[in-house]
Amino acid sequence: MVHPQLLKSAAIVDTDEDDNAFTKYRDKAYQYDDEDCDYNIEMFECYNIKKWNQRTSAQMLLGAPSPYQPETSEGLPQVHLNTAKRSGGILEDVPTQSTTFDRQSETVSSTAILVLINNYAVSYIQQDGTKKTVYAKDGWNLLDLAHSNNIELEGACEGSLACSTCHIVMQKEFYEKLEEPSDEENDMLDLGHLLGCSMAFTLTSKHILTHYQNKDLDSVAKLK
Amino acid sequence: MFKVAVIGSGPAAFYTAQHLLKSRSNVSIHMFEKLATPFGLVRFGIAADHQDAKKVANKFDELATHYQKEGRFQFVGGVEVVGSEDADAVANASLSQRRLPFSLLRKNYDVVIAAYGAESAKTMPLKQGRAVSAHDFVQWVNGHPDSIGHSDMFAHHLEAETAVVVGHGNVALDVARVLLDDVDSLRRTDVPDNVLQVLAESKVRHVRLVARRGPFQMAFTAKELREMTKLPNASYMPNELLSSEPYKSSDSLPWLDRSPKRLMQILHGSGDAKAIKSKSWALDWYLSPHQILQDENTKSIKAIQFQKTSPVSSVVPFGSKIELVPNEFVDMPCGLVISSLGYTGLPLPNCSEDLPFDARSGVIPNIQGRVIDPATKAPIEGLYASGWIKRGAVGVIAATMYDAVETADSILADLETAKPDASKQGFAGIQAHLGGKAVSYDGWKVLDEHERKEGAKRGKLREKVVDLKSAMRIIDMGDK
Ligand SMILES: Cc1cc2nc3c(=O)[nH]c(=O)nc-3n(C[C@H](O)[C@H](O)[C@H](O)COP(=O)(O)OP(=O)(O)OC[C@H]3O[C@@H](n4cnc5c(N)ncnc54)[C@H](O)[C@@H]3O)c2cc1C
Ligand code: FES
Repeated sequence: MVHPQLLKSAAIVDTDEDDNAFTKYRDKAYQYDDEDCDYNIEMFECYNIKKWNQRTSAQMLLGAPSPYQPETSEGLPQVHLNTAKRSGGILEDVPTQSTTFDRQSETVSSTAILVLINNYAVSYIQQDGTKKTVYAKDGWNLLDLAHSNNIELEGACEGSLACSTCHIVMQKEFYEKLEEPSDEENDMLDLGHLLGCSMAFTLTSKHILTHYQNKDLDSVAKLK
Repeated sequence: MFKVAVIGSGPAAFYTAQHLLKSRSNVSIHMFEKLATPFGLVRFGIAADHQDAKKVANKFDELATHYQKEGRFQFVGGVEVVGSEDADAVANASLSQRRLPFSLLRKNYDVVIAAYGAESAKTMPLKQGRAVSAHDFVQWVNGHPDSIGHSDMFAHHLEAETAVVVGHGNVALDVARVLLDDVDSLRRTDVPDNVLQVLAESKVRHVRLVARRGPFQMAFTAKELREMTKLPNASYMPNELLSSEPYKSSDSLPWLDRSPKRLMQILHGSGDAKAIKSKSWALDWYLSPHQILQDENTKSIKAIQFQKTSPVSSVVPFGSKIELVPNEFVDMPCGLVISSLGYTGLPLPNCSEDLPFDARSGVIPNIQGRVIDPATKAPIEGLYASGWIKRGAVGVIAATMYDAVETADSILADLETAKPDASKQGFAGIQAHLGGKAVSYDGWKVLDEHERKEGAKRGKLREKVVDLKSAMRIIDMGDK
């Protein structure tokens, strides 16, 4: 359940398309972040380092879940506030100016993150340096998510935790909030890095993110 | 269109091609492969119990299929690129040994990329006796055409109870796993049937992995070493050296890298003496192979004799520099010795002038993939290297991928200021010299399907057609 107060706060946040707005918003959100809440909101920096020497930074924004599940096409949610509004319900009081939500846009409206996304928004910084923000559902991992959105991220072993080509780097501060990677994942990585195919979104964990081990990938696929 | 020729069809070739094809629409690629089959070490190197790592072939397949449809990719299999040779001899060669002079590629393509791998095994110098090479063993288990008829030889070798593998790299572990694991774990993979038969009869119970240098110099990756400690049928017998300093407290050594630390953690955390399994394995260090000792009458191997080495303690990291200890020898009883000292690159056959080669390091001299003239250090226009032949025979596929992207980036940068050369005819310019049809990508798909079908009948992934002539026959029948 989304905390009603949080929703309200979302409604009053300025939807300026910049990260400051997000930070402001996040600070507000934190006021309501307590043990009973089954959502959380975090901002992540991550780096796609398919090219070792051309590290580009990526921002990954994790939004809290909304009870509303938007329509999906080919498994991916089509996020659009108008759709959300049409479906009625709890989203009624969201200001209309946040309807301009562009899936391809470089920046993300922080308000949109909270109220629109069925579960999570993730921004990948791609090899050419551009940012692409996409939406994930519970159970998706970063590799599948990238691929379903035409974001280039190699996955040579198809998510079997056997090749490490789906390598992603995340800012240490946020990386440390994740659960410890499994020994198997850790064996393949340098500190502060993670494998796109091993990290799936889940709401059950306190940290939102859980590392899925090899054997769990089947269940991840089913969730899809 | 820029016409690009790639020599080889392993991961380096495919990843370089992928980056070029995706980045520019005016690039077309021909990939020349000496074998009838693509994918290099993915098919013939990566261990059979690492099928997940072999899945990368699916990615390459998608790429080839997609760009072939676009008319920008062509696989030219069964054609070995060689140095300057008599053109007539080339044209007359039989289908299974077609050879194409490197100079013809240079003449007909704007860009030539050497991505032909580093396929030769480093040999182990011994005063007496010869070791089996891990390279040959791996090829045999993977059904490489060069291993045809090797089953009898290995059946004989595997009568030994104890095998000593010299070398502490991942390939040594690949070999050890095949020797120690239950053959049933391989039955559903792509190990050829006749190899499985031989492995089922193997008497090997104990494997010792030995290296000249110390524990901190082990070149295993953590993943493979951990896998080794989890073998269901073989227990790890800890070496007491690890309970002495500095190995005992490796975690707290400030000068030690993360990678050796991790390996040490894995070893320190393994080896439960209570759980004795039917087979076992052990690690030994600071031993330099000296000679193989044979039984005078039967000529069978009795032991391998090592000369002890010791670390030069002033050199950090500890053990990276060693010296032989005079007159100190150790005999290690065994019936089989396998050398796994790594791979090295070779120049293209009979190719000395056109494509520079650094024999000392076994690579093509280059700067970020641009092949350079060794004397002047200036890049040679239109000539590039990628993968193991560029960097040396180290690194997993992910590393080869990064490396291929670097080469592709260099090419892309150079193409920015270049124009396609109208005098370059591409494939049209060499077709006549091939003296017949090469294996196309569709041809490979015929063989691929045949192998999968044969495999399905036996409840396995595929049954490889090892013999090149048979492979060619199947391809010819199916690919009209
Ligand atoms: C035994 C072994 C096990 C390995 N296991 C793993 C693993 O589990 N996971 C992992 O990630 N990596 C593994 N690797 C590493 C991986 O195989 C390499 O990183 C990768 O294959 C290097 O790619 P490459 O294209 O440079 O060379 P290769 O894969 O060797 O490809 C070279 C190709 O060129 C062809 N060729 C050679 N000469 C000529 C010529 N004259 N004309 C035309 N074609 C030619 C060859 O037939 C071959 O197809 C393993 C390597 C070995 C040796
Ligand atoms: S896709 Fe291979 S390890 Fe993630």
